Amino acid sequence: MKDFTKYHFKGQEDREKVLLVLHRHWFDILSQFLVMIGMLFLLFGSFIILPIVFPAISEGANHNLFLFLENLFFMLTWIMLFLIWVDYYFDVWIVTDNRIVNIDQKGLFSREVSELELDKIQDITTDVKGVIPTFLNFGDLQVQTAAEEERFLFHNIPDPYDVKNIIMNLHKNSEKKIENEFGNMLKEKVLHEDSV
Amino acid sequence: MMTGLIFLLYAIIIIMFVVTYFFIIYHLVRYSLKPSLNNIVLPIFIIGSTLLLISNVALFFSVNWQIFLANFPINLR
Repeated sequence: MKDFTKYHFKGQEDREKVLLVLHRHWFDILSQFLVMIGMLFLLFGSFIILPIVFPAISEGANHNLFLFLENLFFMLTWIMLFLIWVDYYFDVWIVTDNRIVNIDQKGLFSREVSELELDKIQDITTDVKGVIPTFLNFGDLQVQTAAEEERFLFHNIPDPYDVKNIIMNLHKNSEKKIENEFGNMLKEKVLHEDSV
Repeated sequence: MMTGLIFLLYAIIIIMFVVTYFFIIYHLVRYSLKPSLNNIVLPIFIIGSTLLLISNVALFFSVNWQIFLANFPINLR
C-alpha cells in the first residue's frame, strides 16, 4: 500500500492518519487534456506554417501583431491547462483511520467538503461499466450510511475493488474498536458496582 | 473609438487572467494535500504565468493599433 503520511488536509485531526488519497482516474481528464494538446499543436503549427503561407505576416507591424496573438493564445491555453489540473487535483476523496472526507472541487469558486465516519457505513457497492473502465480498472464506488439520503459517491476512481476491500476492513476494525470500548466500559461499571 | 474598444477588451482579458492566476496560487497554497508538490508546481506556474503576462503586455503595446486599424481590410474606423 502506498505511503500517504506526507499528505495533510485542512481539518485533519492530530492523531488522524491518512490511509488513502483518491483522485479520479487519469482517463477521466484525458479528453480535456487532449483538447489542450490539440490547442498547443495548433499554436506551434500556426507559428511555423502561417509565415510561410502568408509572408506578409513576417513584415513590420504585422509581425508584432502575429506574435501578440500567438502569445495571447498560449497564455490562455496555459491558464486553462492549470484550471483543468486544479479541478482534477483538488477533487479528492481522503480515507483516514476513522472517516472518509470528500472534497468536491468545481472550478475555482466552488468547493464542498463532506465527511462520513467509518463506523456509520452500512453498504459499499462498486460499479465498473463499459469496455474502457473494465480494461483500465476504474469505476464508481458508492458508500451508503444508515441514513438513507446519506451516500458517498467516489466517481471514476482507480481500483474500486481494492478500495472497497480497504474501506470494508477499516469499517470492521472501527466496529471492533467500538465494541471493545463498550465492553471495557461495561466491565469497569460492573467491577465498580461489585466493589460498592 | 476602435482603438479604445481593443484596449478595453484587452484589459478585461488581462484582469481575468490575473484573477485566475491569484486564485490558482491561493488554492495551491491553502488546499494542497502534499506540500512537496507545491515546491514544484508553484514555481513553474508563477514563473511561467508571469513571463507570459509580461511578454504579452509588451507585445500588445508594441503593436501600432492605429496603423493596423487604418490598413484593416474592412475599414472599422
